[in-house]
Amino acid sequence: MSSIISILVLILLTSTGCKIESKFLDGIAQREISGRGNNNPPRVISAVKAPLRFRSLVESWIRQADITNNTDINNIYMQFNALKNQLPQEGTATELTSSGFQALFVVAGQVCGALKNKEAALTAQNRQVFKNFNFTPNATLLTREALASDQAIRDAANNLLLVFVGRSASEAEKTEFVRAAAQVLFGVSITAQNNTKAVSDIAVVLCTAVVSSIEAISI
Amino acid sequence: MVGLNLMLSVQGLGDNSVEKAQRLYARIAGVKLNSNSPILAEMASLIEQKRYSEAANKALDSNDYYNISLFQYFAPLSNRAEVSDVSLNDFIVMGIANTFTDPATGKDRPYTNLVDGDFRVQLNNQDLASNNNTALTNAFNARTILTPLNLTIVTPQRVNFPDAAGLLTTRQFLQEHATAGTNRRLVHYAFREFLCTDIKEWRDADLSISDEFVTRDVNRSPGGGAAGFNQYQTECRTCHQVQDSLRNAFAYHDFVNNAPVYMPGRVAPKINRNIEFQGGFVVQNDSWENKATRNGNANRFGWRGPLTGNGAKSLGAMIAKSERFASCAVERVFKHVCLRAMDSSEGTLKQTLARNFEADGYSLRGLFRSVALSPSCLQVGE
Repeated sequence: MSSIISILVLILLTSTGCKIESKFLDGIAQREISGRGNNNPPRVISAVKAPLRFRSLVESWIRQADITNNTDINNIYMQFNALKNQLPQEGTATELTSSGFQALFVVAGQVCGALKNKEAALTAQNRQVFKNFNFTPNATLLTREALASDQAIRDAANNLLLVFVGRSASEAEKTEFVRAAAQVLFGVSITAQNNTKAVSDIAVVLCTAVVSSIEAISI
Repeated sequence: MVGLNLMLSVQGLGDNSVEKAQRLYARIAGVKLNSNSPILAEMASLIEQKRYSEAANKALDSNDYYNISLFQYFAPLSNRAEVSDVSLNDFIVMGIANTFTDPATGKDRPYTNLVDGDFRVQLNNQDLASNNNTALTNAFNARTILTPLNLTIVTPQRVNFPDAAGLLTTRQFLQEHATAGTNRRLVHYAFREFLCTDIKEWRDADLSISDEFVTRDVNRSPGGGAAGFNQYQTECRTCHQVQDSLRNAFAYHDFVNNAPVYMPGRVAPKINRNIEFQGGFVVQNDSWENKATRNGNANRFGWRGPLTGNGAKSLGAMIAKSERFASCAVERVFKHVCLRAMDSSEGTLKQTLARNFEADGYSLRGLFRSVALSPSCLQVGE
């Protein structure tokens, strides 16, 4: 499961422009695929060979996330078009290269950003995934627990898996998501200026981990 | 609140039926749905009632089936690299439009139209330009949803054009395979895309094969000397005899200035231009003869119609009548829906699906349904 957390951090670093050593990426990709080299193997990821068809995949993500805003959709496809040469047109997940995974994360992140934006604009009860995340800028909410409680994250983990994988999250997975959420903010102090960004980062990173998991990318 | 109710209605169904519905939809229509989707709930309900065909029909009736799944089915067939990541072109839209139910008959149009049909499509009642792909590229970039309302089939394929052969004479296919070269690629790829057979497989390696159709541009001793002569005898002519004899079907076709050209009675100059061997065959008209009928090719193709003809249309008709045409469609649909190639133990299933496909009037929608519901594919009925 720690590889998922590594991926969560990787996604965050990648999205913020940090340079990642390719060797590190190779290691992540290998563990992502095989589940080996890790005492605590990932649970979101199936061991099955996942047939891929990437244009379908991107369209599936859009449908599953119920993203209907044309600007968001165009941005997702712009991102996909910019990176699609790093992805095979079809094949199996085991054929994905590290640069393919990196492209996958970035496009998945774009989808998740759109999902987060959509949900943040809705009232809690009308959201499908991040039901009790507090996306509202509020200078008084300066803890992670106040922005996205452990229970809110556990619910979000379950909802993300329902939406993108089609099954419920196990208790172990929910626990790992809570741990991952804490790690996303590792070393970052929540302030009045960044509290909205902090909760948004948690939402996008957790979502991207699910969306780019091998189980989710099976069509 | 509506969304919440739908979610509850899906959740009220067995997880297994919802999962099966998602899988059935994704494989037929090419995309996964939001778990709140009403279609998913309807399909899951039908699956619980063991009404599997009706569940499959929900996916087949969706816009996604035409715009995502069939796009991906036809796109690789439309280009030389055989990749799906291409823009919309007339080959793809004609394949999609031919799969729409015919409003005049209420029935599905036959898949055989794709190789011998005389039809074109209009987008929003406008003909597509013959010398550019702009309208379709714009539609693709705008993510226009193609439906029978904005994508319609009309005849003929082109004005004063008696040799329409479905997708084989589309602008896209000619652009890919009649640009430069000597039109052999048109035969090569017609066989690849609709008979699932590459020239390397259907060449006649029996050295008793004659070479009367091998044209002048084929060197009879490539590289010179006895080794070259031997190479021609054992390799070159085994492909060229079977391919060149059929290539004549496209003798009057060309692709010039970005547009298809048909010159009745006039052989495209490029075909006879190069002379490597003066005594070789000279193409004088579009009459063709199928020489791929001996030995393994008899079983491979299962020809069932005339083996000679004039022009691309009759060649397409020969392809369509072959047993291999149907079994090739089965292989393609199976791989598309089941995401794996049929294995050698599934020969009987392939034969059954192929014969049912023929009996069903070569309905591509019907074939998708049959394949998706076949026990070795998605296990929806288990």
